[in-house]
Amino acid sequence: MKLSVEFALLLAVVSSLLFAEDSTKTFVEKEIVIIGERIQTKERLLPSSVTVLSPVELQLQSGTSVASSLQSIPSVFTRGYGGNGSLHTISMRGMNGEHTAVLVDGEPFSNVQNGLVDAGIFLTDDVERIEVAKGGYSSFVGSHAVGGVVNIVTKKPTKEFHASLSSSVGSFGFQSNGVSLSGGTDVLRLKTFFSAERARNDYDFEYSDGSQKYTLKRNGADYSIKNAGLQATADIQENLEALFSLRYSLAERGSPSGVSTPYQNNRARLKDDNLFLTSSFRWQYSPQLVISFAPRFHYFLQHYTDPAYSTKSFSLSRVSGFSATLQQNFSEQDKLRGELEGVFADVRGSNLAAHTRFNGALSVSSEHYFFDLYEFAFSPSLRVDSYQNLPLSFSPRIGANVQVLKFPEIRLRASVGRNFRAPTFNELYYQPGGNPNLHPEKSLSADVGLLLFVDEAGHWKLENNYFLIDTRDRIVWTPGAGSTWSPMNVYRVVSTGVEIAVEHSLMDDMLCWNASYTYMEVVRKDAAGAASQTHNKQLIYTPFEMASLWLCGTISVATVSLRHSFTGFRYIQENNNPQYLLPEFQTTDLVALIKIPVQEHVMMLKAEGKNIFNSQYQWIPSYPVPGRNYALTLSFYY
Amino acid sequence: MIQRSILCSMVILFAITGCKKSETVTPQETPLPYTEGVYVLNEGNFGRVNSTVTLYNPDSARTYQDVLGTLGDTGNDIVLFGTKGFIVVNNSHKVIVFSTETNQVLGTIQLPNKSPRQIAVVSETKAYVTNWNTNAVTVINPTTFQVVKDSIAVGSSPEGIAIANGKAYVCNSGWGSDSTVSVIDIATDNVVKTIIVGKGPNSVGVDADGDVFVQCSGYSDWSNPANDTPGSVSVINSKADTVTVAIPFPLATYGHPSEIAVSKNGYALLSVKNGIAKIDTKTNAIVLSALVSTSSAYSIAVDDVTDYIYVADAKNYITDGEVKIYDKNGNAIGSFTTGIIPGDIAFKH
Repeated sequence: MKLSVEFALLLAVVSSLLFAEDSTKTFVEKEIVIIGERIQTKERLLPSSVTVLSPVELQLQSGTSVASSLQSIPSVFTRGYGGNGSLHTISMRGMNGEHTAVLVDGEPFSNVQNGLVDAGIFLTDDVERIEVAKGGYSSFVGSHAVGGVVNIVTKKPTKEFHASLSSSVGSFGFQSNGVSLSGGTDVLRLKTFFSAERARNDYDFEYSDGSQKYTLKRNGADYSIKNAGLQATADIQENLEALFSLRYSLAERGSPSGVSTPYQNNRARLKDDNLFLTSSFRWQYSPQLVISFAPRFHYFLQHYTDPAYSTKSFSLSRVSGFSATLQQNFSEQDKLRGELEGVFADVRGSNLAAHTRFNGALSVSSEHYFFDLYEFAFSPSLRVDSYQNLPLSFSPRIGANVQVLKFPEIRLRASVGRNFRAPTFNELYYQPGGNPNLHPEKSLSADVGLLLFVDEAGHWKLENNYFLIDTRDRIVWTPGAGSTWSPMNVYRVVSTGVEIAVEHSLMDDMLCWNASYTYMEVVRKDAAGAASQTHNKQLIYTPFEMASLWLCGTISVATVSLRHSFTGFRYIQENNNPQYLLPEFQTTDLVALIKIPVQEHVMMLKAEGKNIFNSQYQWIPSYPVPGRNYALTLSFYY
Repeated sequence: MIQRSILCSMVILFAITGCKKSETVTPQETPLPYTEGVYVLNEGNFGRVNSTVTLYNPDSARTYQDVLGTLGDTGNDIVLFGTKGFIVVNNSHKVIVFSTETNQVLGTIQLPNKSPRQIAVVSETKAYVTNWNTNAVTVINPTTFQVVKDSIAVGSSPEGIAIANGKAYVCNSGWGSDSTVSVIDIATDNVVKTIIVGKGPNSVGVDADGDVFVQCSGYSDWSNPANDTPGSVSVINSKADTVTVAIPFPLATYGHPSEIAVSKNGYALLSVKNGIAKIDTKTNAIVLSALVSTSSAYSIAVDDVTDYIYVADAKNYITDGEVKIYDKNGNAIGSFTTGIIPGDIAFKH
């Protein structure tokens, strides 16, 4: 299965030449607005790789969380500590979860305490689409955008009345119910939704203690997630639009430890309260100039209890912030955007004394397009972040996209930028061990890509990217005096890799398939060089290879989707001892959708068979993932 | 692994043979004590199921890694008794019994959800295991691999345990908040006394006179170090079961002591902030504040036969560790490489 980078590049070039011979048409692609309107262009003109999961694609995914939706994207690796409802973090291009900036409707959503978003409990029932921009984007969104950005775009209120009802049942006591209502007038539009999901999660898994194999049942992994939200959009004046959004989720779940014995009695529990309040005022001052102002508030409270150790702890973070944006479109070819951002955060908890932090940022970006004989796009951007008690962080980025052949359309694109990650509150102040003297991680991110669009025998798109992320001053929890561990700026990580993706649709999208392959080396560079056992070694839990194949067919009212994924082996020791590996695994998911028109409305039946070949695997050692399981959903859209 | 074990056994066999071939030993003489092997239990990383054992042969200065294969998640204690070895695997909730003659696992005793910490072996058929999760000691039979008595209730988060004068002395660590030692009568398996010692009793050893030395870490307040209390060593007379003396270890000089190793040759060693302190077990006085200067002692042990001191360094906790060997005067005389996080050391004589 292992392919080399060279072979992958060769494959891409050969494919390009192959299609170049007989294609004469231009691929018509989507106009996209990504990362909360920070980039507005056509997909083919982007300087780096962006994947947008559309509503249809989200419907065809198995699972109900953002984590499960992202598992099909090349070089995006969700690390899960079990099945549904368990902690899942999003890693991109070999970076960790805290190196992915997660936004909701363009606003930062990552937890300021640990820099993470638990994508396992972010349900997609109110999600319109998910944008995944790989590579460094600190020049647009600041800290954490080292491996990439995930922007979750929620459904917006409509003027016409719409209602939806949805109910699901599945394996291991899975139940989910949801309702949403939307409607309004010419001036005011409202939307509200509520959903509740729960499961016992008592799935079987195989366990070996080295001498004997057992089939065990996971216990203490049950969960209950409730989501509710209210959104309003209003046209206050002819050129002034306001948006208000309140989103609340409550997750109450078991948090079982890893399985290291056939005898489990997990009683640890987690309870997450997550309130996200955003608003924005958008003033169309002139046809070319838009001014907007967006205040926001994020409240996150987590309780952890473990009767086995008489542990009861909590952590609370509150973030208030605003952004003021000026967007000047001089023409279709020249756009300028400036943004001023201010954020005030305060945290406290059982292991964290009360701390506050202010940060301000100023960013400028522009997009320039030249549509002469060959199209050329050029997009410089710069952001300056000022964090209390930290040095200024300058994050420049420059991207370009050039059309090198019109028929078939072949494009080359490239981007390079500097990115950073500010230390989180936990890294600075967690007791014991927090290190208030940490400085930000800094990284250089670059990628080069080749795009090929062919309109022959359907629509073809071939994408090939080579990427590099060189991160310095990586913050790592390190043993110190006594038994106390402290985070330190200790080493460099260099992530390089190649992503290849092919998409093909034909018969007006009735048949489509895509395939992707990623090879990446994510190696640690120690200051001691070769004298260190961990120097030049692959980061733990990070696969060298990932691949997926997706087939989709639609006949009349029925659509069937089959996805097969491969994840290569991963080391679990930093010295890459080959005795200690998480083995490769493959999973196959089958989804069938039937959409039945009922007068002017739609009834939808969705059947999911997940991991249908009952693969036994783990993302994190000792945290088993469910084998074969099913879900059935009945929805009605009015 | 099997090949490695066979090789290992052959090396030990040659070592034994070499000893017996000595022409200076006559049938009338008692064979001289001899350190055949040094077993180092490598904890491995919590949650990663990569605990192993390193075997060091002092004669050949050769080291053998992974001699028992992978043990489980977080090996915490190793004790040798007769021709058997006993390993407590904390997060796999089990005790492994192995043969020190063949280095083969003989059997496993499961202790579900008890979070076992340390073991004291009374005989071929009886051993005590301290358990964090249950605040209790479990009695096991290492020959039949059965649990004989599930729980003898002791204090909070029991940790170190040692046998003296027909009794077992259990350190109730309380993660720094408890300050008692429970005394179990071996004949009845009942707690017969609870002795007040310093804050955070953690490890324990017995000297040649039967005095019990309890290392107390003191209290650590992570959120406000001003509330920290100093560590100490409480000396218990095992005949009267009373504390005869409490040796203070001021915070500024010693930090929080983390482990004690008691020699049968009149001294005890204590792992402290900047090294290994030495206590005279006759006078109960600190005779050296730093016999060995080091800030990286993860575990310590003393070999009664050679008087050599073994100090384990866990390095960066993710790569191989190292054990340094010192003579009784603190002079470095050698070292060997171990697995990940060398946490406990035992000697085969």
